[in-house]
Amino acid sequence: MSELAMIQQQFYDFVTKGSAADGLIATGDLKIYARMYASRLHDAIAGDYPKLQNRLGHDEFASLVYRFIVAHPPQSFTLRDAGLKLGRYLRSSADASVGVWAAELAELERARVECFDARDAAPLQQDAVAALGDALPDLVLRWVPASAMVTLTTNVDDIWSAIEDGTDVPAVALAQRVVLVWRRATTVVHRTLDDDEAALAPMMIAGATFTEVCDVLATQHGEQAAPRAVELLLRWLQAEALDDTLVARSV
Amino acid sequence: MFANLGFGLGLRTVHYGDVIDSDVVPPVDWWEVISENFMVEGGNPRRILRLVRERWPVALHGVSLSIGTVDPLDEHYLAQLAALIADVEPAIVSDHLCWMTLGGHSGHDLWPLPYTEEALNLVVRKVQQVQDRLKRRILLENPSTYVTFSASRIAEGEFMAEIAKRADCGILLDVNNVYVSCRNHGWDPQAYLAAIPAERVGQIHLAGHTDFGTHLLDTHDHPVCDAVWSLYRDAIIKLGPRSSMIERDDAIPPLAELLTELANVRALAADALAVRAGALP
Repeated sequence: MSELAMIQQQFYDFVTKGSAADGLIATGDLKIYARMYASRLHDAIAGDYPKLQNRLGHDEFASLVYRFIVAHPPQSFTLRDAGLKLGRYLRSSADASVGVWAAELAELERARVECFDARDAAPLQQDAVAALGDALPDLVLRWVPASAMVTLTTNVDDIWSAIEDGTDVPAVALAQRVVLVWRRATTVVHRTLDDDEAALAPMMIAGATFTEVCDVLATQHGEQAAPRAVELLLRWLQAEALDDTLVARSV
Repeated sequence: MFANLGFGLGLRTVHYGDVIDSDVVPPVDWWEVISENFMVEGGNPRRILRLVRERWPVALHGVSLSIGTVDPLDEHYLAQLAALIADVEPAIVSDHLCWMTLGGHSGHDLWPLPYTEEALNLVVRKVQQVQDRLKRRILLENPSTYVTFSASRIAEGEFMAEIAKRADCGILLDVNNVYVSCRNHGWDPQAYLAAIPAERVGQIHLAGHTDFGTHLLDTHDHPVCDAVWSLYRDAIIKLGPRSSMIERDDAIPPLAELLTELANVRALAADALAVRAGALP
């Protein structure tokens, strides 16, 4: 190992792990770098998970972030990814003390981060769909690329909304839900899906024809499947949640 | 060697509305953006950058090149930077004389180098690799540092000068960093400036710092202090006209306040250039 490699290893180990660094420096204070390492990562992760920090409290969140960055030292060049694996970490047995709800809240917040700067795409417009006429059954419905599905077993969507709105935050409760997160123009939004929408949502990641959507709805709604499909289609169009790139292929 | 862009500011999210949506175009000659903040696929960051670039020259200022690490260069990072450069066509591309990665892990900080022959050779080789990859000259910024290494044998200003000469790159002279590091380590800022080759300086940074008593920290959360203004004046007298800008990253004031501070930069540079031309003592 070269002298430079040894110096950098010693510096890195002191800053990130508090290891000894005898004789490394001539002047100054290495602890300044150690403090900045911890505080910069904490601030970046707190910026991405504000609702989780709100629920855990400052000290518990800071403790969580410390355990997390020890387990998952940042590997990406961008601070945006510093907290990328926090949800998975919280789900892992290594840090189960915080609870499943925390993992799910982290996953919801992470999905919003990912959608914020995901690939741009023009949303499918109502008039474009209306112009399809008899070709509507073949229309492929697909979520915009800046979208994500988050499957929940708790009511963290309600908790997120209460914190956002400044209202009373409900207690954690079990609740099977699917949340769709997407970016509308430059604003990230999310909505808890109805049960029949939740059944359709995974199909629409890769793309599903309007006919396929109707077939799935028929198993739940029988003869009312067609009007329900139109109702959902209008809802998704108005929300600008559908990608328009497949319209041309359908026409 | 480097075009003088005039007087600029660091583009920050809190000012997006004033920069893009206002009927009054801010009197800023160019904007510097943090490259990594725009290495994303889409959304508002890229939209804003496109709009800004339509109206102004842009400098891409990186924080993650990690030019001084013993790790190999991050090809994934370079590919994203190259793509951003192709999209933005920036007037300047810069990063820092520092390292932040080791063993594939990132410290997300501007860690200092020991100023040794080995480090010098490594940085020169990597700058050449980066410039070959990006097909353009880059600028390296002198860092604010809080330690010096026992192994160091070369003064920082001379280290910067030697890299610029041997790698054929430019220098982004951060006057606040010169001041901070000189105060922290007992160096002479005038000797530091004297070591910097004028023809290699392509851009100047100005910023504020925080005095913690035991050391100065490069926090970018205060206006530029008098001592740094004075050093900037000395730098312009030595260098001549240079693209100059103010960085503010914390406790960011309204844009109007930064524009007033930028007007000070213009006035001080004009005064320094008059001195340089012999019109003033």
